[in-house]
Amino acid sequence: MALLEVTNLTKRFGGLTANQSISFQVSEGEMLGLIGPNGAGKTTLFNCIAGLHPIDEGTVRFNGADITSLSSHEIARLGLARTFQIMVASGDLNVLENIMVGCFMHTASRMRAKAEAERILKELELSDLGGYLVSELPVAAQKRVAMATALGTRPRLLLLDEVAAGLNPSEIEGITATIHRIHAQMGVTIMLIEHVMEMVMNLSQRVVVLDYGQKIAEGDPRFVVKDPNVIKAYLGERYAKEHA
Amino acid sequence: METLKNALDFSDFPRLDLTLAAAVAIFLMVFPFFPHSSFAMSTLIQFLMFSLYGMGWNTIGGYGGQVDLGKAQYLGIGAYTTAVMLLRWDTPFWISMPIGVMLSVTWSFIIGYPLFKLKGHYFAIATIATSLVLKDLFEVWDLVGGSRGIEILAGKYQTPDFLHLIFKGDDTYYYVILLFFFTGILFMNAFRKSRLGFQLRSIKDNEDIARSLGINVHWAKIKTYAIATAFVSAVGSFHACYVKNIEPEDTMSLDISILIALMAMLGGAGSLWGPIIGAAVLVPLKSYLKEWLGAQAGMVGIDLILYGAIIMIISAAEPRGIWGMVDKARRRKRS
Amino acid sequence: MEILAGSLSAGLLIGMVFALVALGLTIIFGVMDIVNFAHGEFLMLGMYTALLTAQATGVDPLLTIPFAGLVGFLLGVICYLGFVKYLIRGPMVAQLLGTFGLMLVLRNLALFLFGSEDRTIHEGLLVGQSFDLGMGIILPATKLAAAFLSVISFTAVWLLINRTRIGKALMATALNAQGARYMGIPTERMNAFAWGIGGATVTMAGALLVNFWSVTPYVGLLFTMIAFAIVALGGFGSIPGAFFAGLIVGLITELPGIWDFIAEMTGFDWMASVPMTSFKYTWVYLAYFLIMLIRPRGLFGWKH
Repeated sequence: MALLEVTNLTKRFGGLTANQSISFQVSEGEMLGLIGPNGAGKTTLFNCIAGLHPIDEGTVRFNGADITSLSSHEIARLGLARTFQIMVASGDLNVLENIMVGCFMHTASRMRAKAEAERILKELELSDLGGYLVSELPVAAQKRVAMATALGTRPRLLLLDEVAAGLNPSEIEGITATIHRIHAQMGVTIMLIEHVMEMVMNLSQRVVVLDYGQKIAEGDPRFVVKDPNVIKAYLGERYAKEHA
Repeated sequence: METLKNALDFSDFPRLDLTLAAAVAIFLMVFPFFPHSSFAMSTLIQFLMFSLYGMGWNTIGGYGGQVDLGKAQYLGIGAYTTAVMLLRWDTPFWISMPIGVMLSVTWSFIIGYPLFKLKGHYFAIATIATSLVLKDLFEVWDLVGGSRGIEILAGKYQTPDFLHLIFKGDDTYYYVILLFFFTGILFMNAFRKSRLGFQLRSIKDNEDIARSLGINVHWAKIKTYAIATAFVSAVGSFHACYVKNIEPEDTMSLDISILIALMAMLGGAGSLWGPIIGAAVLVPLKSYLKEWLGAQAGMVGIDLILYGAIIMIISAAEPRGIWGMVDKARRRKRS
Repeated sequence: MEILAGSLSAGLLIGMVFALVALGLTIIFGVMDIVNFAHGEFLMLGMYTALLTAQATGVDPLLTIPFAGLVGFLLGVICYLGFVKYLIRGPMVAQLLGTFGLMLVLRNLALFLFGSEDRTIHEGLLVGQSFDLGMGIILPATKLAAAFLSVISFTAVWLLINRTRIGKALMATALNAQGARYMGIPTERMNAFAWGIGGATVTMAGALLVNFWSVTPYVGLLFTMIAFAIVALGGFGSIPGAFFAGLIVGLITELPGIWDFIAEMTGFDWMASVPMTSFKYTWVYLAYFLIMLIRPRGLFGWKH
């Protein structure tokens, strides 16, 4: 049984269909990449799975349970966590406290939440930054904090939304290593949206490709990358024809 | 129990702050033994009361970020419950006060559920609306004396009466409210370190992120609102016994609700000391302004003009209040 | 039957005046997303302006309306440039409390300058006159004039917003201030202008109101709450919404009359003993609450 099963998921915003009949599965322990040109509906898909938007058609099953109509906090409690592209921080909680919030999901004790948060900080090599406000940190660190925060809830499945956006090549290397560690050592199943191709190819065992709201390809990254439909989606029809 | 430890543990404050706080605490405890005017005493009592109102407000308004401008209604419920029960059934304060809290909290749950579907100014205006509705109700309700209010005649009781909280002078009242005050601080210290406290602060930051961390935002807000309500109601009950003369216009008016929010904001909403600092500035200011400018000026509202001006300046220049300024300066020094 | 007709007509008339009071608030909110607690105080100042100008110069109170409007415009602009401009940078707590501070200052300034007694206009062309249309419908001339001018003002403002360039610039700022700036629209000036118009319409409403409603420095709060309810019902930012919502709220305040009518018709004695008149405005507050829960967008609103 797959950890996450998305079946015929459709989401419309007024006249625009953001996700059209999308189906795929994620197995436990996998690292799945979600790619596609801008506007293809990737973040919307994440939002639908995580309960932020009500889904128009289709179902989502997580760990055997139907989570299609659950609210986002209920889904989080079942073990599905996510990061957000924009970590809007009004500056009240520092890094450690941010992570503690997630940890409080499993305990009412501040001592235990703090211990767990410190453990996560160490795991992600953020220990020195615990006392800073998120807004005071450089972008690369902020992205790691976003992941750390989600990890506080001890998720079984973690959805990462463009955590490499805005990073330079060496930072990308660093964050790739962090994601790898989360996956391999902390045993979290991961699904990630990314635009940085090398990263997706290096990390993912499988990828799903979206374009204009529909799934157009799925499979091993090395083969997907040569799929004419995928090339067409990214580079246009003419390029695909010329290089077929 | 960990909550008790949380309440008593102030170690995450810099030593300077704790030393100052200790000094103030000692001052408050020995104040009555030194020669003082009754005016100063009553101002201090007011300060302690408003600190408590502000601390309660601070839970949902400061840490939670939802500006509540209708707190006065709970002051009224607390005060009237104690007063009515005292006059009708000779109920001791220590019974009527918790009952008042229960009534207030029940009411807060009833209106809280729909209220917290709103945010921002819509929420604020709705809190005003409910408060005014309740006030209007009390003004025509015979049980609570309508717009004339209720008067407790101290002469009818054998003072000092600890059961009903009737005393001749201010001194005993002072110590009772001081006890409440210290209890309140301990409670707030435990609150901001509790799970609910963290949840609230996360909600204030970004509700979507809070939800993604498993927080039931709506319910967390309602629970916190109930806590704020309990604070205000308890002190409201005290207010009835202390002032002995209550009417809707001075216990449940919008002005009082705003004053409560204002003090917390001036001092620094969302911090432990903020509401206390705010009350420490505004309560004496109001009292002494009235004294110096004379009652005459108080009637034509000069003190309120100054009040309003102060509100305006703080809102525009430093919305995070006095504590916010201190905190900002410290952070800058650190980096 | 006559009670009903009387109540309904009174409700509609006063509703039109309420609508004008709320118009300024909906404009300011539409353009800037800030709730002005001092709105009712502007009204109050408009009332005093009209009253005192009429008494000082001896002209008919109705002629003081343009002057009151001018005062309101200036007041609005000054408040924006001198204060509100800085307020909008801060968090919402600060905004709410800031305009509340303004309310305290204006109200107590009025108390200081004018004293706390009730004042009302006693002399004027239309004061004391009314038209009896029969069937229990009595239309006081002052209220009729106020309603009439309210309709004109609404039309004028609507035309201004929708048919002039400056109006379109205002709308652009309302929809997307950043985008408007990129298009070269001076949004600062638009904001000030919105406050100016908002101030002007409400002071003119005050100038009309004082012909049949006595003024004290405390009269503002009630109208602020009424204006909030109207704007919420009609939809924040919607001008036609404010008008129709005003009518509805006007009718709500005439509920005691309708209640009495029903009491008479049904013969339920208990209904007659309920002191509905004391609750006149309570229903307005309740209406606000209910609307925000059931349909936060209001009847015509486009801003949420």
